[in-house]
Amino acid sequence: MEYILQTSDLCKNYGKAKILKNVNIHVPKGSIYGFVGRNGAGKTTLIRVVTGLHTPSSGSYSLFGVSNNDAQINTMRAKMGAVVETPSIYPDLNARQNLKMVCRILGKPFDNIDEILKTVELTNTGKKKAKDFSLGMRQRLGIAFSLINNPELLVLDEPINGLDPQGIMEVRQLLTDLNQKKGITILISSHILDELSKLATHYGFIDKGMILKEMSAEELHRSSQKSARITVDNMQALKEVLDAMKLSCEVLSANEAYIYGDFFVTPLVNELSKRNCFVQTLSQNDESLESFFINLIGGGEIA
Amino acid sequence: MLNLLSVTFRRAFFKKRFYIGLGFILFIGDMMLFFANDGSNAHVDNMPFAVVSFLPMLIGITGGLYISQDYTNNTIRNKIIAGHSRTNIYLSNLITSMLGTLIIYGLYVLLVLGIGSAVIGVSDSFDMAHEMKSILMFLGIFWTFTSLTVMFCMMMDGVSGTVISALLYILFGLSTIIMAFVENETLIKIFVYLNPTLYIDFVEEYARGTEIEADFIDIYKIVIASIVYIIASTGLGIFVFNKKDIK
Repeated sequence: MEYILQTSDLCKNYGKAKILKNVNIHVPKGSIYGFVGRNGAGKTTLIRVVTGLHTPSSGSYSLFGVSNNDAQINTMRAKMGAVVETPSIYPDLNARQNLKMVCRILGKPFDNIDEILKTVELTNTGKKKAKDFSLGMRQRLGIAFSLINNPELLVLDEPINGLDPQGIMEVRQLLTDLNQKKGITILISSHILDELSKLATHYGFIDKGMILKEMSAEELHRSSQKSARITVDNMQALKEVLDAMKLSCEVLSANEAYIYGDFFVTPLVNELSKRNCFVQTLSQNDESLESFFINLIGGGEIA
Repeated sequence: MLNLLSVTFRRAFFKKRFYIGLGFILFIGDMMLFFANDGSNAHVDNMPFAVVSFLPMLIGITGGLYISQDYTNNTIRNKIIAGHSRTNIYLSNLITSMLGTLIIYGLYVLLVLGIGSAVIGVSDSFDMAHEMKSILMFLGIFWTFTSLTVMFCMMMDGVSGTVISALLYILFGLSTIIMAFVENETLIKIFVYLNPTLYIDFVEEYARGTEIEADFIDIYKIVIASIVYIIASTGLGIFVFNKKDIK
């Protein structure tokens, strides 16, 4: 698999505080990589490091296969667009002038400004200065900045923060289009997990500066959707029946277990009944991204 | 680099702030010409040096505000994310600020010397070569203050860099109090060559043709000291800025 962005034992310290601890992430080409973590978990710090705003304390990262220690890293960074936390707009300029300014920074012609304004639906803002924009408009202008260079990688830190439901839907549609129609790889951090689950093709879960797990949306789907929690009075009998049915399980206690895989309930209960094993409860584990994440970090509140 | 300069020029010279600073200094030049043109024996010989004491503060305020706005708006991120090297970002700010200093002082000199010499005239002892040499020396000293302003503003976030830059001239001036307690001549010499505020005093004495109070001062060594200051502060500024974490 080709990775657009990879980190290798990346660490970032602020004084004695270790914010990132040996972080290893792998963002596959063409994916929408959802970066999931609580407030203060290290999401923004990691994004700041890979966008070049912060320097790593140790470890390394590579963009498009080029290491951050390589002189070519700035050239690779030019293939990336990013919105880190709040969009970095020029408050005294209108939307068009803002985009022209970014075009100048990138040395790009002003040709596609109209198209980008249309894409982010800011065509009708006229001479209104960016400082008078709503939060949603600012976010969209920030995304517009990141699109000017026709990026191959888009890094978005909490892009739907503060947006109304309509705005969230628009940004989701925009990102889906960019990924599917233009093939742009997207790294997106968010703690609005329900929204992220509608977009992401891959996930990286971070907590307390450490990556807990990386997985594809399919893997997440498999591990969260296709499990059932069962309570029985004879665990040994359950194990034997599951073995015979070629199903795997995870024993939680003397009476409880998770069953993984596809199965019909009736044959399972019949087999258990033959062994004088009674089923007390059986529930489909229909886990959301949010509950998966909470289980992963061992409970606690998502910010 | 050219892309960066195109942006920094636009952000620096297409702003009201720059024209307020420029207007202020030209207003002073205007006023001096107005009051000198009263039929007295006044002449313009020393007028280019009349503003040298407060120009460093003006440079500190205008330059500091210009650079710090990139931090306060977080727009400096756009340049880094776009793949520009931090060294180039630093140098583009330095070049723009130096050009701003040149424009402000250059237009002031053009006004008082160009219009002033035609309206009021110069003295019999006026020596154009000496005048130009002095003006260039002052420009070098102002660039020293400019490079220090850029260094502090690029090393610090927001307004703190601007405040320090604006107060640089005063802080260096106040530091001369320390000199009163130093008796070792070598230390005094080192201190003098490390203090750009004193450069202004000495070059002003040289420009006006009066004897330099500190007889050990070599006026050309001040030029060298200014160049060393610019190179050292730029080197240190680039080094720190390259390591700096941007919010």
